[in-house]
Amino acid sequence: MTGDGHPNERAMTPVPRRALVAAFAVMAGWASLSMPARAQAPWPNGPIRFVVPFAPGGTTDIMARLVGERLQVRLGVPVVVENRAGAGATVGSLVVAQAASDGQTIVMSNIASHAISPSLYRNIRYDPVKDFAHIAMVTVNPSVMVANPRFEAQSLQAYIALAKARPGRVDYATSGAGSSNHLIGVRLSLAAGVELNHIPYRGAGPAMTDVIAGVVGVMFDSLPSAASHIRGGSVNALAISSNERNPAFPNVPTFREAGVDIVSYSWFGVSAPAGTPAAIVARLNAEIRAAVAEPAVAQRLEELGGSPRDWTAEQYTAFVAEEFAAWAPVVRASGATVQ
Amino acid sequence: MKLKPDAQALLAGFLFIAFAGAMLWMNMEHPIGTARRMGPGYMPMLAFWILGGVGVAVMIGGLFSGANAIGRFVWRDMALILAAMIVFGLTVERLGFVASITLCVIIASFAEKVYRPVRVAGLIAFLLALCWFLFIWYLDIRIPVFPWSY
Amino acid sequence: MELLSNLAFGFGVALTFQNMGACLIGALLGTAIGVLPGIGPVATISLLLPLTFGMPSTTAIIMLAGIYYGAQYGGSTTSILMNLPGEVSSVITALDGYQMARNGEAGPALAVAALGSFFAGSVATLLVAASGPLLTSVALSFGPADYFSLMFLGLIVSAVLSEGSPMKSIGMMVAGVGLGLVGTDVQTGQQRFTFNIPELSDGIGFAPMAMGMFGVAEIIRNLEMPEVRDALKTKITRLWLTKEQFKRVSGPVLRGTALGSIVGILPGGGAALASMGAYTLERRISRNKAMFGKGAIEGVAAPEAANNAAAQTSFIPLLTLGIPANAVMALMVGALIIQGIQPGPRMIEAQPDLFWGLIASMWIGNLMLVVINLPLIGMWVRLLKVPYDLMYPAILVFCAIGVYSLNNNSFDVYVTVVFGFLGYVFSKIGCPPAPMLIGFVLGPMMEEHLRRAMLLSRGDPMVFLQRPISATLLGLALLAVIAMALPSIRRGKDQALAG
Repeated sequence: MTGDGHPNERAMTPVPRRALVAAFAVMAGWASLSMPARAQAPWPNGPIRFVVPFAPGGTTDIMARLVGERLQVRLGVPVVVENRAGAGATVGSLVVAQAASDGQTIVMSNIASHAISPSLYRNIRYDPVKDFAHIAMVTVNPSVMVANPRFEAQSLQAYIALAKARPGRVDYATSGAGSSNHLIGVRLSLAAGVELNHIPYRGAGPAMTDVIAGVVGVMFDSLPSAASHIRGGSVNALAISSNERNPAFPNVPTFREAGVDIVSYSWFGVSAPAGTPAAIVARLNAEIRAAVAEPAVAQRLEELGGSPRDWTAEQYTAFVAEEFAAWAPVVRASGATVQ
Repeated sequence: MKLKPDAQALLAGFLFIAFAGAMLWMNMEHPIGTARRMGPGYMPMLAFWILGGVGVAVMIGGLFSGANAIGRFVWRDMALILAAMIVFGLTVERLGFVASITLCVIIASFAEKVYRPVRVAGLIAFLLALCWFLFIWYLDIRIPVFPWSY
Repeated sequence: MELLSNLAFGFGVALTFQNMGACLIGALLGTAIGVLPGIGPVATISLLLPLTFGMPSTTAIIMLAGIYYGAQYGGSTTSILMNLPGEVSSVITALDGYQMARNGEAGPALAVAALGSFFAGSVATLLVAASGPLLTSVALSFGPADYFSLMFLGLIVSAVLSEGSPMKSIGMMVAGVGLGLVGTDVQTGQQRFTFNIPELSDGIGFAPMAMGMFGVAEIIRNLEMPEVRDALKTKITRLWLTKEQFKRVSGPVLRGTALGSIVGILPGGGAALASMGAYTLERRISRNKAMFGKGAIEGVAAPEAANNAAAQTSFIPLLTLGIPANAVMALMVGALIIQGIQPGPRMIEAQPDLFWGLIASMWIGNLMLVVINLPLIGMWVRLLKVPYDLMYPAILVFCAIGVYSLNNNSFDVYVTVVFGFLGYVFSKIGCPPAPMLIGFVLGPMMEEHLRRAMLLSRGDPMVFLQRPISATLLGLALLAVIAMALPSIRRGKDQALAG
């Protein structure tokens, strides 16, 4: 467990250094803490900084930690998750865009940081496509429309009918203005030609509380954060924003089945600063894909409602560029643009 | 009532009014919206108008509440303390926390009347050891120790 | 008795060697980060998360919970000794706690904080066990209008928190509300008063602001008068409460516990409102009113009991609904999900060992904390005897590192500097910092709930009077205003008569 001659000895053992904890861990027999020693390659050279542009505990953070933990074992160096939240995930992304392109700093790129926020915020100092070497896609998640069980509309069609009957008096909650879920609401009101009343919250948790309490009837939420509430029966799922039905929730129709042409995914991947050597990108891509394919990780991701994507770095790069271009007009239409 | 100006209250009131005025001016770029759909400028408008009103009340009250001098400011000590923190902030990421703490303590110590280099050196050594133990070894927070740490 | 058998089951889970160890480590770590200014439970828990991957889920959550309530304990220590509050509830503790330390009563202040917290923690834990699922309805019965009225009541009572001119306090409070509005508007995403600084888009940080206005400003003030600060050292301090002090704190601790337990259930701002409410209540009803703000032991006992009770009951929404009440709880949700457990409404039935084990461990952890902390009081008090020329650079360094570590960003250090300066200026013109901090915390929440309530009521303000909870709270606010105004009106009359 010690730093086998590594230049940065402290970082080799970030966790066991807390002697109390480590001693206890050993006593209780958690053997999985040790990091396998690997032959020293020129890369990775010391610990890898894995920046998560959101606060700890959120979906992005969970995804990053799931992947980071496996990456740490595969690469033989610590992968240190660092949360740098702020400004729609752009603060953390900027840190990585400006970091050295030596493969030691990576970011959990996602739909907010690399597709929506760059159109939403006025002073973004990075280009989500040009300033990054996009490495690998981890997973995509659909969003889901949930309703309080006592709400009068218990299907997407009934909801639209209700909105037509009472224009501007039918609400929906989301985790915040400018989130991908808010934009689903905007697209729904455009597609169905109805006026809907957006009630934004500070994060999915408070919004879900008010839906469960019946303050707001309906909410658009990403599947990972809504899954347990759907399973627990505190809310009903009315529609899912994926192409096909989700295997974890086979009874929930897609938006398309319900007659509204909306397909929307939030996605999470890994990116490094532009100029990162191709060899490092290739190695990271291979390791991340292998990590995501591990049964334990794949199962966890699926439980969270995500579907892992086994893509090359080129595929992911092209995808990010597409998403960035596709979201700009929607963001503008939402009126949520920050000046 | 007799006019007995209170310098403290007058300055406090002035600061409230000045702050409220500056923020209200900046708030002009934010849409106010309606009571039903309040814009981003609605609450600031309410808050800063109230603050301005309170500021006026404090100033008027201060004209009669009796002499109350502001007292002396220790500008030099204050500047040194604040400078010590600014230097820490500027250097911690580039030079690591060992160098940053050293600089911070040296600057802050100048606020004492007598500068005792040996005492300060001892304090630096002690603090470096303590901070390394607490922050790096025990809590393992993400802070560079040396310039080459990352 | 089903409760008893459940609790017995819970203690069976919590009393294993592994879980006791996890609880102890969590409590110790929590105490450490609570004592160190700035470093909060969120940062520590997120750093420890990877470690919990290898643990059984119950063990992991017991440890993380230990960090959380351990930090609540530790937080009062620095507020009392050095006037360095890192969160809202410690701001309240600092009001009278630090004054007690200056009067040479740091020992009793720390002791009452520890004992009051232990008592409150035990009672609240029992409450979670006995009626957690039932109390869930409290969290769900508060709509946006009710929250607005609650925050409004909080703001009104905060105006009486401090000494001195009520007008200046109100001014500071409203200015705090204004500062709280800096950052991204939740409803529209618009940046307000951010000067295009990305770090400001999430608002000004509370800890940098509080540590600047309290801690750093206090250092500058102390440098101003070397004679006074050295004279304080010679005052010797008792370590324990006198019999008379025991008698004085029993009521405040009981009332603080009751208030904290209820308010803690509400997601968002529960703990802050709890300690504020408890302090104000004591200040109103105490026979010892004149001492408040100058070192009243009731002013330490009540808020400490309230915030620790709230810390325990804030687990209720997480455990019964799967909804995190604050950032720490959100992290716990993350930890559980990584463990493969989806926190949700079915958690109690699906994971009984987790639920009952956690509850039992909370009580054990509180006991451990009081056992660890009482002997430490002697050491803390001795810390006050360190010569000030060695003390203040150390405080400054700890503040700087702590604030930096919040976001790994120097920007927060600069924010602390700005508020250190402002805090010093304010102290010169008799403007109390506490109402500003409280306005800062409550203001943005109040705005959010106000706007949401108005959106949902289609612009009808009557909703605040039609909802019974909201109407009651507004009625209380009105009473508070009248109570506040009465003495000054009476004083005005007396002056008029005398003049």
